[in-house]
This record gives sequence, C-alpha cells and structure tokens, in this order.
Amino acid sequence: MKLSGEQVLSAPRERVWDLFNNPERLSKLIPGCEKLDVLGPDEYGGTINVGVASVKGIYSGKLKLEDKRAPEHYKMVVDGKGKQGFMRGSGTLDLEAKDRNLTVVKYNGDVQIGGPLVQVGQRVIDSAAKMMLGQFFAAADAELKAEAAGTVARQGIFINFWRWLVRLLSGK
Amino acid sequence: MFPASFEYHRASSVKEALAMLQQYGEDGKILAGGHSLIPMMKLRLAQPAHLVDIGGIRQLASIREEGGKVIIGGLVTHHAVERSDVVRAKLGMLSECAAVIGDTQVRNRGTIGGSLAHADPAADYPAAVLALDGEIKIEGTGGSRVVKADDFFIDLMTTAVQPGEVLTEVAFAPVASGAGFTYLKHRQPASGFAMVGVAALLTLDKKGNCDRVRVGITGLGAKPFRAKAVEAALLGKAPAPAIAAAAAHAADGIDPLSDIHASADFRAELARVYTRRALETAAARAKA
Amino acid sequence: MAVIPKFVGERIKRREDPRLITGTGMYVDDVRLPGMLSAVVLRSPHAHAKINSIDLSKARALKGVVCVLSGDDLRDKVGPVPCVAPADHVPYHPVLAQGKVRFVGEGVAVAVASSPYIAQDALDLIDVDYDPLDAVVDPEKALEPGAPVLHEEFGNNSVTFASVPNPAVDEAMRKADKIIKARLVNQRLAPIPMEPRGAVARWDGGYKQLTVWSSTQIPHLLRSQLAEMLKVGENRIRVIAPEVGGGFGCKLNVYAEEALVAHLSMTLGKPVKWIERRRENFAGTTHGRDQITYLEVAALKDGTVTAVKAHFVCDMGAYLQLLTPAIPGFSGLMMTGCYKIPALSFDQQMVFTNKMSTDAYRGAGRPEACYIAERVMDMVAAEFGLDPADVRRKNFIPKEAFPAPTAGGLVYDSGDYELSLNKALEIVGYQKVRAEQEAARKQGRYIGIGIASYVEICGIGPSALLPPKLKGGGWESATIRMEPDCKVTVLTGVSPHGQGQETTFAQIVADELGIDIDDVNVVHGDTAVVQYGIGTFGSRGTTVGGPALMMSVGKLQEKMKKIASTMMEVPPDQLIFTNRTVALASDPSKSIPLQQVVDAAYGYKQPIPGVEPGLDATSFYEPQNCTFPFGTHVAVVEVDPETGVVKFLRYVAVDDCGRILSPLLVEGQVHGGIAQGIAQALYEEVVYDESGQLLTATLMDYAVPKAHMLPRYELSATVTPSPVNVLGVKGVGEAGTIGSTPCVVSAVMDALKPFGIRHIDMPLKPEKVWRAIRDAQQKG
Repeated sequence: MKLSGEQVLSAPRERVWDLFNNPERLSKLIPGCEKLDVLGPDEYGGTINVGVASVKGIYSGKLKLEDKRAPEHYKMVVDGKGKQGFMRGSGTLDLEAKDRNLTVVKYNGDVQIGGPLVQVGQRVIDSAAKMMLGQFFAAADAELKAEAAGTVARQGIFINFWRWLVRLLSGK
Repeated sequence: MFPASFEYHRASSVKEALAMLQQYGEDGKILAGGHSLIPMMKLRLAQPAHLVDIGGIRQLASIREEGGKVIIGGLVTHHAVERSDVVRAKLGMLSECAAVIGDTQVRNRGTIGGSLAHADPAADYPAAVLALDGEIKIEGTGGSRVVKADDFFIDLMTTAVQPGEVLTEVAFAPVASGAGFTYLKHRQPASGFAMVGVAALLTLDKKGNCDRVRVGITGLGAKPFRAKAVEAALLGKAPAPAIAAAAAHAADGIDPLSDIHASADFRAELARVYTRRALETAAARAKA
Repeated sequence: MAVIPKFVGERIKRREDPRLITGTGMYVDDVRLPGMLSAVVLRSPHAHAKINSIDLSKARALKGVVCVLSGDDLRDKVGPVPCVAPADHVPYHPVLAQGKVRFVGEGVAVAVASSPYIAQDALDLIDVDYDPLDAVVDPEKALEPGAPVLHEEFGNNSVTFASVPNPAVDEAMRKADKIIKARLVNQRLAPIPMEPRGAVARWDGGYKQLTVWSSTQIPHLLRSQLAEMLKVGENRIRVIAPEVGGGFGCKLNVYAEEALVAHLSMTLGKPVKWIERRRENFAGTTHGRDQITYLEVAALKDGTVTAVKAHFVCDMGAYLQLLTPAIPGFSGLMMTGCYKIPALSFDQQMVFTNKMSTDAYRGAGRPEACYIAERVMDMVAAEFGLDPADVRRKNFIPKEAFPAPTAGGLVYDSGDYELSLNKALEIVGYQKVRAEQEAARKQGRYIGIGIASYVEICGIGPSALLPPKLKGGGWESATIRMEPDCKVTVLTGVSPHGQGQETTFAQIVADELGIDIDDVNVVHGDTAVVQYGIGTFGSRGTTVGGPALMMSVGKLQEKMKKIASTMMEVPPDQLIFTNRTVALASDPSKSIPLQQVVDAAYGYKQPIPGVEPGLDATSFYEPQNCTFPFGTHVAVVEVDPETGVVKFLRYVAVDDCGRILSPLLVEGQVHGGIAQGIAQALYEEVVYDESGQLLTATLMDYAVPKAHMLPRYELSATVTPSPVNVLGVKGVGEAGTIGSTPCVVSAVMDALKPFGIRHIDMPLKPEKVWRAIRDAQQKG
C-alpha cells in the first residue's frame, strides 16, 4: 500500500522536527499508542491498540529512524505484528518551512500489510490507514498549537511577572 | 469459524443496555442483527469480551408516526422497512433502498440501526438517510440527543454514536407529495454492497424548476455524504438540461475508495453516471 | 401385476436429493465419534518467509489442549504430500512447513484439543518468528533472473519446460496470408465447493485399523497415497467419502490435512476431526487455470486456419499437488478445438510462485484450450471481416472425418459440429439478432452476439494417458449383486459427489434387469465395501463407470439366464429380463419370476452344472479411447458503455453428450457448468497482491455468481452417440463450463466491435470494459 501526501502543521519547522524526534511526545500522537520505548539511538519499540469499528487489535513492533537530516528529513522503517496481521514498510518524511509559523510535512511511504486483516478487509484497509494518518496529523497539529499557546502563556506569565517585579522594585 | 470466548448479555430495555455498556466499557459491544459483528468475531478480528444483545428490546423494532414524522426503531429489519405500508407511502425511497440491500437473509436479519451505527462505507442505507434528511436519535446514560444525518457520519466506520451510547431510532419527515426519487446502486458482485449507491430526491416548483434537491452518495468515499455541489448546481433550474452538468460534480472533493473491485477513478465515474441516472429517474417521477 | 416402466431416457428426479434437502445426508462434519478431538491448523500469514523459531509452549500449556505440533515434529513421521505427475523439479512438500513458508495459508502448526474453540485458542498462543522474504506472484516475473527462488535446491523457479515442436507449423506460417498474434490469460480461479474439505480419522489400535472419512473425489487413490505417507498397509486403511458437497476437481487430490489427522489419531489413540473453514478453503485448497498463452495463428484470407503455435506460462503455485503439472498438457493438446487445423506446436513453461498450487478445476485444461481455439476463430473473423459463424464452419472437422485424428495427436470419437452450430444459431434466430444488433448500434446501444463451438475430452480414459506414478489407471470398476430378495446392490468405483450416479446407474440396472428403480441401491465411496476404483473426475462417472457396470450386468444376466434356461428348458440366448421375470424373448408371456431364479442361485438345493451359487459379478473396464463431447453456445449480451456492465439478453446452449440417459441430470450439469463458465468470463478471479497476500479470501470478495447474475438458459441438444463405449455416452460434467466462457467473451467483444476493441482479458469486469472503451475513444 502506497501512502503519500502532505499536511500543513502550524508550527515552525524546528519545532515540528523536535516533536517528530521525541518518542515520549510522539507516542501520544500515534493512534492507540501507549508508550514508545527507546531501544537504541533512533530506534523505538512499542505497542499500539488500534482498529476500526469492531475490528481492534494489539500490535507490537519497532520503529527506526534513518537518514536523518535535521530539521528536514528522515526515513522511518516500521515492522510490527499482531494476531490479526503484520505490517512492514518504510517511508520518508520531509519538512518544508512554508513560512515562519507553518511547516509542510510531505510523506511518502510503502507499507505491506498482511495476514487475516488484509485478507478480509482489503476493501477498507487503505481508508483505515488514511484515517489513522489523518488522526495522527490532527493530533500533531493540536500538540504543536498547544505547545505554542503554552509558550505564549508562559511568556505572558513572565511578562506579567516582570512588570510586577519592575513595579515592585520601582515602588510604583 | 470459532470466536474467542465472550459473555453474552441480553438487554430487555434501552436503559438496561446502557447500564451494561457502562459496566463493560471498552470490552462491551452491542449486538443487533449481527451481520457485521459476528463474521468479524468468527474470524477473531473482533474479540469483544461482552456482547450486549439489544435484539429483545421490542419497542426498538417498530415503525410509528408521531408529530408528523415517521419514526423507525433501530431494530427494524431491512425487510420490514421494505414492506412497511407507512414507509412505502411516505418514504418511498427508503423502502426502495431497503429492497436492494444484500440478499434475503441479510434483509431478514440486518437492522437499520445496526447499518447506520456500523457505517460501512459501502452500506446502502446511509445514502437514502442522507437524502431524506433523517434525524438519528442516540441515547446515553446522560439522556438522549438527536443528530442530523448530515452530521452523523464522521469518518470511515465512525459516527456520532459515542462509546456507551445506543442508536435507538431514525426519524424522517414524509417526502413531499409530487417529489421524485430513486435509489440506484452498482453492486459489488461478491458482497452485494454498493460499489456506488446514489439516492436522489427532487421536488419541482410550479414552473417545473427544482426547488429541493437531495443527493446522498455511498460507496464512493470513506464515509457516505451529501453531494452538495450537485444539489446546488440543480437548485432553481429545470432538471432536463441541468442534470448532466450537475451530476458531473458527484465526486467533487472526495477521495474515492480503491480496492480490487474498483479503482478510485472508476468509482468516481460510476458516481457521476449513477447520479445522473438517479436524478433523471427522480425528475421523471416528480410532479410539478 | 403392474408393468414396470423403462427408466433410461426418462426425466427422473435425483434419488440422492431427498436426504440432502432434508438434512439427513451425512457429511464429514456430521461424523461424531466418542472421545473425538478437534484439530485446527495455524497458517502462514506470509507468502514467503524463513521460520526462525516456533514457540509452542504456551499453546501446549492451555487447558483442554491435547497436542500441538509443528513441521519439525513430523519430520520422518509423515511422508510428503504427493505429486504423481511428472516434472523436472518436484519439491519436497511437507504436511506442515519446515524451515520456510512459501504461500499464504501454508500449514505451520496444528493444535488438537477437546473442542475446536480451545484448539483455536491454542493457535492464538503460538508464537512464530518469521523472517519475511521477498515473494513472487507473477509467473513471468518468477522466471526472470534475480527473482526470489522458492525452492533453493532447484536454483530457479522452473517446474518443467515441455515442448511439442512441429516443423509443419513454420511452413504454414510462411504461407499464411496473415499471422495473428495474441496474448491470452486464463485467470486463476477458486473451485469453491459448497462443502469445504474436511477429514476425520480413527485409529483402532487393537485391530490395527485406520478409518479416514474425507471429503474426497478419490477414496481409493487417497487410500493408496495415505498408505505411503503413513507407512500403513492398504489393507489396514479404510477411506470413506461420505456425502461430498461438491468437488469441481479440487477434491481430486491428496492433502496434508488428510495425512495429518490420520497421524494424530494414530499417535493420540483418539479420533481426530479437522474441518476446513472457508478462508482456509480459499487459501489452502487447490486453485484452477492460471495460464498465460502467447499465440501465433497462421490464417488464410478465406478464414482457414492453417497452423497454431503457442507458448504457455503456467502458474503451478508454491508446491505440486497430486496432478498439478499434468493439467496444462490438456490445454496444449486440445488447442485446435473442433477444427481441422493441420499443424500445431506448443511449449509449456511451468513455474513456481508464492501462491496456492493449481490443479484440476472443472474442465482442467480444456476450458483453457477451448478459450484459445474460440478466441482464434473470432480473431480470424475480425481480421478478415468474416462472419464468426462462417469461419467456424470453414474450419470444422467434417462429420465424415470421424474417428478424426487431430494435430494434437488425439482421435476424436464422433461428432457433428456443424449440426450443433446450426441448431444453436437457428434457436437464437441468428440473422434476426444480427439485424437487431445493427439497428441497436445506430441508437448507440451495444449488443453483441457470441459463439463458441467446443469439443472436450471426457471419460478419461485409456490408462496410458494417466501419470505413470498414479496408483490406479484410467479404468473403472463395478460390482453388481442380486441379493436373495431380488433387490440389487451396485458397488461402483466412481465416487459421485453431485453427479447423480445413484440415479443414473439405478436407471440402467432397472432397465437391464427388468426391475423397478427402487429395487436398486447404488453404493460408493467406501473402500471397505467397494472394490478398488479410480473415482469421479473428468466427466468419467458414467462414461467409464457406466460401461464397467454394463459389463457386470452382462455377467450377471448371463448367469441368471443359464439358471433360468435349465428351469424353463429353453436356450439361454432366447431369454430376456422384463417386469421382474425372465421371459422368452419371442413370447414374454412365457416367463418365470425373477425371484425363482434368484432362489435357485442362493438356495442351490438343486446344483446347476457349470454355475456357482450366489449372484454377483465384478468387472474392471479399460476404455480404448476417451470420449469427445461437443456443442455450440450462443450468447447475446448488451454492454452499457458508460459503466461497462454486461447484461445478458439470451443464452442458448446446444450440447451433445452422446446418448442421454437421464435428461434432468444432464440439464442440471449443463446449468451448473454454464454458471461456472460465465463466472470465469465475467466475475471470478483469485487475486494476490504483489507481496503474495491473498485478497480474495472470503465470499465477500470472491464473486461466485448469484442467480440474478446469470441468464435464463435455453437448452437444446444433438445426440451423436460415442462409439467408444457400450452406452454411447460422452460425459457432460464439464461441458457447460467449457463452452460458456469463450461464448460470453466472444459476445462482449462483438458488442465492443464498434469501438475497435478486439480483446480484453477475463474476467470482463465492468471497470475493465469501461476502461477499454474509454481508452479506445481517447485514441479514436
């Protein structure tokens, strides 16, 4: 199955890059993922509990990042399996700064899905993959926005604190 | 075909079903007609620990008229919808649609609530329910709410029904007299599902121009949808010359499904052709 | 006393049906034995992978689990799954994978438990560590250098290369007005019997007796092969084929699971049952067809075809099942069809791919051949602007030429091909339909008329035609026993599973012995009861089993006549059997009741010189030739150019299966056959993705046609008896399948003629037709 497309995320490229390289934060964005364990440099392991409608399953696997060129490119190699099927494949992720606060994420992957899952669900498997990809990017965008908002908020607190301090010190 | 072990619970009321769903949380799953769930369980692709069978809740299995609306319980079978005099008289398209779902066995067991809640991207009903502006009633422990068909289908097999809730009924305003409608489908030859299904309904004003157009399309994308570009292109116009151009918009903005039975571009073409044909039939049946 | 009527030729309802439609028949899954265990097989999700390790410990620990085994546990304990057909490379085919898996669905482990639910739970606990390898599913790519190799010991994926050269072909090509080239594909199909496979085994240790119930078409051949796989004497194995819910060739085989349950029962000392699930059936029961043919046809302007040359690429799948590499041979030999094409040459490259094995499927090689021959006729007609019916007439073997030797080295027994073509065209109203087609085209409607004249091989056949390693030959056996109460038991070596020989054979025997059809009981499918027989396949039940029965009937009649002759004091050759009597042929009123003759044979109170007591006879009939049924099918279809949908307007079938014994059964066979042939033309296709995943693994994705997808059949027949056998029958089990596929393709192509489209590969799904039209319009 070929998966390619692009998605615009509301954050500067460096911040997107940071997010996509942080297993702890990344794990929260992957649908059904509870935790990513660091197995080695740029190599993670984990379990996801995902599905569509009544078809749900637990898959465990590995995720490896290769050909890293910060902050614009890496290749992701995935290998996972569960009782209902397996997934193997790789894809590239390219980040382009659209403007100061927008990043275009271009993805291009080829995954092989096998086992009962695809033998029974061939007609919806592409859509299911696209849906999960959509969920991932939506979560990523929300996370980036929250991060930005958090920073702004922290800045706000800081400015207020500064003003308060200035007032206090100036005795006004 | 041996499912993993599960516990079976039979609910005698919606309230009881909701309590059970709350108790079992993610491990619980509603069983209605079972036509989608049970095959998945037999293949062990679905392994719910608890099945809450709502099949015994008789009040969900009736069709009634109330407040000027036709209300169809979630457990009404496709066959019952097809044969209901009330549905035939007031919601002809729904009856027409029910008659071409699957095969006889499926129509005898499958339910309207099950079909809508499961939201298979190739199911027939959603197209008709969208075109008929159905209103879907969802009950939860906190009370009930009504969702318009337009807002009901969210994504692939994902609807407004949240975990712990039950789809209890679908309400429709009767189709205006003089309206023309039809449901046309291109069958996937193995499953009988809609490769593309188009529900078209239109009414004409005194001048013979379309004053209401509804086109619901299933099978094309990850979720059923109303082809609003088609509707808009036809509204206020005389059907005959405008239908062909309007139908050309049937697949606009949709990322069509693609599988071994039909590629994305063939599905899109089927959607355009069937939309045109469905609208032509609807127009021919409509009375100004 | 009421007169007993004649039964042969009458429209008699199948005597098998009441028990089948009231649920009182017994299939393998109905076998329930005390202490019986259930076996479930874990299957590979990978098309090609190395097995690093298999952890069975958790599965073995589950409560209720009796035994869990993987391929390594069975090394040297159960012999390989057999292939008896010759091939250069016959790989070792273990009953459960050893070290490597080569197709999705290959058995990897088996769990035996007190219930199938627990056995299935155990499978979920088995952890297999696979190392996935690249897979190859396209047989042409499998031949390319660098392709993944399935069986390393062979170095490449070639099974066998067979060549039948003929210098006359090159000569004809030089002299041809036109050489037409084409690439034709007979896609892979799944046989889909209504009852999947299944087997139950019971080992009675005290008696050293193994009983195997299996849903098989070949109980005796299965017994022979199991004896070899399990190292048990054939006299210690009883194979029972109970009710078998269809086979279509896929049960003309010996499968891993049959030996597996037998081995398990022998080691566990308890009966073991395995029942195939539909998804397993799609993945792990043999498929059919899957041949690519590169054709060169030498033709003259008048439509005469002077030579055909073909290169076949035949997909065998990952392993060779019982007859896998033998099937394509028929496609080559029969490629000249009903036509007097003087020169034929072909070669066949058979290939391993990461898919389920192919093997016999209804028609087995002849549908492919007929498809090629009929596409050739249509292409020649299109090339020279001739009427396709005329091109066929031009090339037909004339009726005076029979017995007719063919370019493929066969001798067709009898035929009148033009008669069947003319009759079919007359029924359809050919000229009128052509006029309607013309008128429709002017209105932008696309009607097509398709013709297919087929001939096929049945009643296989002379034993020399069968693979040398096959335990049995092409003969068949029958025993007839007149019981002491004047009722008759027939034991036939064929193994009907829907063909209806319980009816046909009873009709024959009743007429020959002058008794009622209800007086005859036809028994089959039990090796402990029935003498060695070959089984049911290749439309041989009545064509080979029937003459064997006639031989035994003759022997029995002879004996009864001898007895009656001493009682009636008339020469035996003046006696006939009628109305439950033995009567004088010249004056049937002079008779004695049959019962008196039977009493004399069994009671034997007065010894009859030269006649032993008892009344039974056994015969083994070796046919001298095959039979060659033929016919013409004509379809009228309309193609919707906007959607590519093909709609049937008419379907006429004129079949000639020789003498018709049971018209209702013949029609039933033709109906089912046409349905399966139309399915190949329009609907069915086994699809594997590039990585070898099977995408048509359920009936939701594999399009077996429903009634509404099929036309109303207009059936007719011509009757050209076969000189090969005493009954004059030719066989009808596969005819419908063979004629209908090219007929429908021909009709669709005829409809698309205005677009300049000459060929689309099957199945002619709406999308393919639509795309061809769109591409043609864009080019035009």
